[in-house]
Amino acid sequence: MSPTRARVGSLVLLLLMAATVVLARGRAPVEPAVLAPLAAPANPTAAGASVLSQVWVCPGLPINGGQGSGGEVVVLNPTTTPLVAILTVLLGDDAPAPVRLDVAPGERAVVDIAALATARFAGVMVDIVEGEGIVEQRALHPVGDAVAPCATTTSPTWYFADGTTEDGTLEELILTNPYAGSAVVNLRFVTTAGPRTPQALQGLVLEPRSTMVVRLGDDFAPDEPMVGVALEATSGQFVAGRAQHYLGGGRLGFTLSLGAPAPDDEWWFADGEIGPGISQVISLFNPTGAEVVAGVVPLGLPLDQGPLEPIEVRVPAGGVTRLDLGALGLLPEGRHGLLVSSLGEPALVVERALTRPAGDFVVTAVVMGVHRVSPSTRWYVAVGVDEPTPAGLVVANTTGVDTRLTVSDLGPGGAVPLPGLADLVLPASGVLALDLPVEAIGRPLVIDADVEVVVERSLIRRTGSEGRSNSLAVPT
Amino acid sequence: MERLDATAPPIVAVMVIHHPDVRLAEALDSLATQDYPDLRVLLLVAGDDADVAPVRQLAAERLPAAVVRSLGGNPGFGPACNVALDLVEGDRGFFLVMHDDVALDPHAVRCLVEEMYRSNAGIVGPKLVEWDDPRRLHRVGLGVDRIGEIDPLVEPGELDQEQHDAVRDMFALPSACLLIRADLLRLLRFDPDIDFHGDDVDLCWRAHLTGARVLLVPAARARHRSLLPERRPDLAHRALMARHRVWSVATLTGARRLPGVLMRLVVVTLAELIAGTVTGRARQSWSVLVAVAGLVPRLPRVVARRRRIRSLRIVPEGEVAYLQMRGSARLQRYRRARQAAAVRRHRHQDAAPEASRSAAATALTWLVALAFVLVGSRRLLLDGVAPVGEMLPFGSSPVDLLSRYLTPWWGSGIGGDQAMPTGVGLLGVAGVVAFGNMGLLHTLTTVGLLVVGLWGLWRIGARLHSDVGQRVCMLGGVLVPFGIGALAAGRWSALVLWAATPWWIDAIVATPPDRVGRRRNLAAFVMSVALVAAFVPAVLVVVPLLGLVLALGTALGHDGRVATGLAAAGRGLLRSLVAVAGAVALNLPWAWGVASGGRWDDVVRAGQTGTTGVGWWSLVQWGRSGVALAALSALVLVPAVAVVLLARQGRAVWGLRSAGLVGGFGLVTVVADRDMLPFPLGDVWWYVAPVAVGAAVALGTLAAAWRDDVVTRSFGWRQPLGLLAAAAAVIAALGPLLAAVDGRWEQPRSAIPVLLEQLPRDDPAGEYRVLFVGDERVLGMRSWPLGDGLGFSVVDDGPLTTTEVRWLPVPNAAVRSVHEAFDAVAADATGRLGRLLAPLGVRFVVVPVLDGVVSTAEAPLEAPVGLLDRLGRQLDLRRRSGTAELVIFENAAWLPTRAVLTGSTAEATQRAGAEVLVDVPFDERLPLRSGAAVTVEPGAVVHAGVPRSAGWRLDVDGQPMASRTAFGTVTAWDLPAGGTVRLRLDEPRDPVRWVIVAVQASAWTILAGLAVGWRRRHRRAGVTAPTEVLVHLDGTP
Repeated sequence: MSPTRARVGSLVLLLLMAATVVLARGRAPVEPAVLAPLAAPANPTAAGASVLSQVWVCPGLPINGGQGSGGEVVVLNPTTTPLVAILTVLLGDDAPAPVRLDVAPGERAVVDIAALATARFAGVMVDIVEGEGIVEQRALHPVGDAVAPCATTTSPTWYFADGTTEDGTLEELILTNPYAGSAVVNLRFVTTAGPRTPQALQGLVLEPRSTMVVRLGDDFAPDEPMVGVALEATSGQFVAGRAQHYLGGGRLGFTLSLGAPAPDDEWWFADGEIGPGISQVISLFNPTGAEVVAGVVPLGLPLDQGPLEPIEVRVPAGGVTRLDLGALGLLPEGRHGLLVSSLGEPALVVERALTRPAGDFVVTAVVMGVHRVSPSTRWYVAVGVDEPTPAGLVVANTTGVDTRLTVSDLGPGGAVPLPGLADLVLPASGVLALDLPVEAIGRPLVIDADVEVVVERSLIRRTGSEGRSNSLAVPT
Repeated sequence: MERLDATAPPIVAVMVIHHPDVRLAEALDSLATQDYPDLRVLLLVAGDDADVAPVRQLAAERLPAAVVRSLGGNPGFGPACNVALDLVEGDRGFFLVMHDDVALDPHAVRCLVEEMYRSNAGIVGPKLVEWDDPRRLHRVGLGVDRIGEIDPLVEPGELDQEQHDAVRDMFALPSACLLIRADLLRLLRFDPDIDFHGDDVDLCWRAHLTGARVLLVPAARARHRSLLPERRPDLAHRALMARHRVWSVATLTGARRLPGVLMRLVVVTLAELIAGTVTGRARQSWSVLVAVAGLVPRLPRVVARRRRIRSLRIVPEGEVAYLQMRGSARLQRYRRARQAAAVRRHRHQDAAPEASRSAAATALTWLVALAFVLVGSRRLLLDGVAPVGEMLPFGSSPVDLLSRYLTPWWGSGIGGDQAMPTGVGLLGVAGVVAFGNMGLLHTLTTVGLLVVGLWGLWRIGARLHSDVGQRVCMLGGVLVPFGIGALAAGRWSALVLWAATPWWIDAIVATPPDRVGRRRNLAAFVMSVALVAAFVPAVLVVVPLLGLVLALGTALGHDGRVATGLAAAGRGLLRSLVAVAGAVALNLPWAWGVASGGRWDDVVRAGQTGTTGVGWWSLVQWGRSGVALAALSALVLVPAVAVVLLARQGRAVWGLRSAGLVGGFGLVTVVADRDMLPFPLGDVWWYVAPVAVGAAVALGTLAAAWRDDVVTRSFGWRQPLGLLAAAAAVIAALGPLLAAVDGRWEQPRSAIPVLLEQLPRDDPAGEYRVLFVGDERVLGMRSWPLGDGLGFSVVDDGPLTTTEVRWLPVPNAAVRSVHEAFDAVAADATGRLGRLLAPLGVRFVVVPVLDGVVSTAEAPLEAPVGLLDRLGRQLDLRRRSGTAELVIFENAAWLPTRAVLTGSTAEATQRAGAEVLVDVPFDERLPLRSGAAVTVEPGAVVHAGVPRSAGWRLDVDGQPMASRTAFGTVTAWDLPAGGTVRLRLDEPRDPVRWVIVAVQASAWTILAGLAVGWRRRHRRAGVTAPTEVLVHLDGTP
């Protein structure tokens, strides 16, 4: 072998080895396999046309057969094709047979759950196996009815920020497991005295396809003006709702809310009001282990009337901070929207309690905010008004540009704009309260905007006390 | 026609001539000068007709009375002599059969005849001395033991000091020169089945059976050259000797002694094989083993010949056996050789001590290596290999595997009308060879691969022309603990490649001197690549890369002209490409199925799980990171770098080749590990295997170069570098030591297949399938990709086996439906995955998380993002267990793989698509066992969760029913009138499939024959034996 070739060969190989070493430097990142990252937690969302089936889980309806109580589930078919759904009452072994629903285009099916089963509370699962739909629940209670959205996603965690057991107020947490397997849930809550983790509320076993009710107030956190709740499953996933029958502490009435499946860093509210006799309280629950500084930004105020800077709120780790906007005196009288932001830290769950005068009393409506990802250009209202309703819909523009919006009646022929509610101008970051005319009575509605908005409805209660019941519409 | 002298017994000397040369003249002269009065000469020319004329001319000059005849071909010595029997008439007198390289002393024939009469013998033969040096003995008869082993009774070069000059009864005499009674030869004839080697022993053995004596007549002397191997290089002499020897033993040994003799033959041969493996002389023993195995197909002929021989037996078997040697002829030969060597050493103080020390060191090296492997594998050998990673049990019986291979139905998982992989058939054949013990086969094909790898390195080491280098090269197989690590981690594909790579390197760089050798080398190469490709298709990538890297090393390091080096490199590369092409051809039609998918992914990932992203630190620890002292093993790369600079002269080429393997495949490894190319290269460990082999060869090359290129050179940079490399190698040797302590190379004790035993077996609820989905690196099985590192595989219920998970069919509609179902889950488009999977019989969805190999408790891979959460959100999946290793979901909506459907479930089979499936409750069904008869009501539908195929047959009251597609993917039969139904896979006797398999089996057999050196039996072909009578022994014309 010639020395020249040997040298060339050696050089080539040494260069090869050197290149290998250079390329191999550092550790190659070990990427996990990915099916699809779970979407950020969001409010219930109507599915698109590409969905094979969509399951809606209504957190729970009071169907104990008592005077004035009950509940119904409303399934709206907002499309032009038929909808087929299977409705199952989630009462474990006591559940009635599933009900098949065929809903024509543009129509609604209303199912009286109390007619199917009897229980203190019953979760309901609506499995849309053909077509697309929107599902909402309306709870009937002697002190007033309450509309709440049904969940389109289950989660191993659920949170509530605005709870109370003050003056005998009943707070009941309704845990619904729509799955074939059990879920095991731990419950912890935070009061003015700090966090609590009662042993009796650890390892709660949610049987398959069943509903469980946990009542706070008697044995746990009695007479607490502020109760934030965290429900965390060690196994399985579920849906959590909360029923509150206010009996004091400046609140009255009945509310039914769907929890928040996860903390987030932005929460939007369309409706809010400052005025005589009106109490508007924002509850900020930080279930994480670190303190969070949040900013509360009012929307829809003239620049010369509102605070220029966000209202800064500190929320301790694992704690709840309440902000009484009326008592602060920073906001002018009138309607406004709200944005609560934790500046990039997804650490907050925010609810707004709005107590307005109703006759001789007051009535409280509690609404969970809209997650950062949920503002949409189209919103549906399955449970509409029963009479002409002033300020029945409140729409907030979440963007910095002006937009136009139209409120339409959904029918078999599609969406028809309601009189006077077409091409309305909604300024950037503005709020618009819309009066629903007589044409809207008993009709499902659709709200279309050019940009992302948040829509909240304020329905006149049909039963019990007077006043309004606030709830979010359903975005697409 | 001539008349013989009536006063002396006539003798016809029959000389068989092949390719005459200068020796023939002397041989003819010796016949011409015989003092025997009635000697006739018949010259039979075997071979080309072109040889006849020179023989005639020579005979005319030297032996004018001789009769010359052409045989028109070369049937072998014995059969040629048989031709002479037809040319000579009469039984009075003798035949003197001779080779054409024998020259008799002038009175030899007379002495033979005299002794023949004196001793009343049947066959006599002369003392044979060396052609070129008549003072030295060549043969004085043949000693033969019970198993046909021959002892030549003299040592090569032994001086003739009249020490053997006594007339003696012999068991056999060499056929080089035999005087045989004519009547005896007509009775016995040479065995036509024995062409070369062994004809003399066979003839003499049969002569003994008839009571004829076989005598050595030392007074008669003949010179013999005996250069058959050189004259006939086209013959597989070793194989022929073994074959004919075994044939004679099997047919001539008495019935009473035969079982014991055959057992002794096998045992002795195995012992010799083991000893030969250590000493590098295993080929002869291997040939005997092959010959013994070859008796099986020849059994009818063995029986027939034994029946014929029975009529010849006059002498009791014991008397014949008495003439055979006691003990082992080979051992006697060995002892004599040792004694002779001792004498030589005493006389000359020659190089023998060094050779002896070398042999002892070789034996010791092998003992150390084998002991290390055996001690380290003792628990695996005793308890069996754990089902870790790819090392799942083979499962089925060989009969089942072979029958599955013969049918055109892919019988694993979802199934389909596709050719089963060649590997299934090969496993079946291997199972037969292992007498159906698939567990033993599994152990041998895992632990045994370590020995195969070491053996291959030993072969490469022989090319270093240094005993020390060869030994170190072999030991490099354990010093570089890649094979051990692969075995521990269940990386069977990588282990196979590691074991095969040395053999492939040897085949690529080999330069056999003749065509036969080249043919054998290429055949063995093609066959080994095909064999591995049947299980690890990625060799189709690895082998050409191997050829390329070695070509580079050869071209740069060739010790000659540039053009010669390039030509050698080109030949090696070409051989690797031919091997790959041959491997593809041998794996048809399965290979066509893989290729027809047109997806590179199917080639580089078929049969394994595709590990990447390992990281350089784990790579240089040969996949044993986390094991004590494993980091030290990285030091073996130091010699691989040093050897490039140190090795010189003939060793330089191996220095470059070994470093090329380390550097070239190292680069490919890093590229594969980091996924730098736009297409996947597959499992990173495949490319580490040649690196490990290269590192071992580098160690051997360094050892070979130590004395001449390091120690004896003038002091300079070489000595420090050499010392550094040697020290690194010594320290690295500590790395693998601890791994042997636990007796299982630290294989994890629990594995996913073990955990899966909690799933029900033979459940009355019906047969079902299990869907594995998760990170492809952790699945431990071949999977269909779902994208982003996620894959899935579907298997039948029961234990996981290699045949179920190593290969996947080309995706069909059913497979695509699973893919679409997961797409829907990923898009949150369904909460009914269970229903979407129900038609395929999927009852359990298993997500492996920790496999103990790629993902361990200490270093877990992150669970697939979104998978468990999304599966947990499926309404019809129930989380059944959630250990750290895996999560199992049970499908509440599952449908048995075979079921009778009624009501709405039956109606739903008429529709297709996921949109339909999500609305089907699948609750009106009864399980149906395959092959079981069940009575069903009218209107029912029989469902089978398999793609439609002619193979699946449903009989209703004995009448076959037509099937249809159900749910768009699987099979159903409508039963409007009900009845007693029986569903079964009617394995169709597809003639096309059988022909394909027959062609494939023939191709493998022919290639195997070429590889082991079998030859086409050609002696009868082309032989045109003359038919007229040329000589009369009885004195009549």
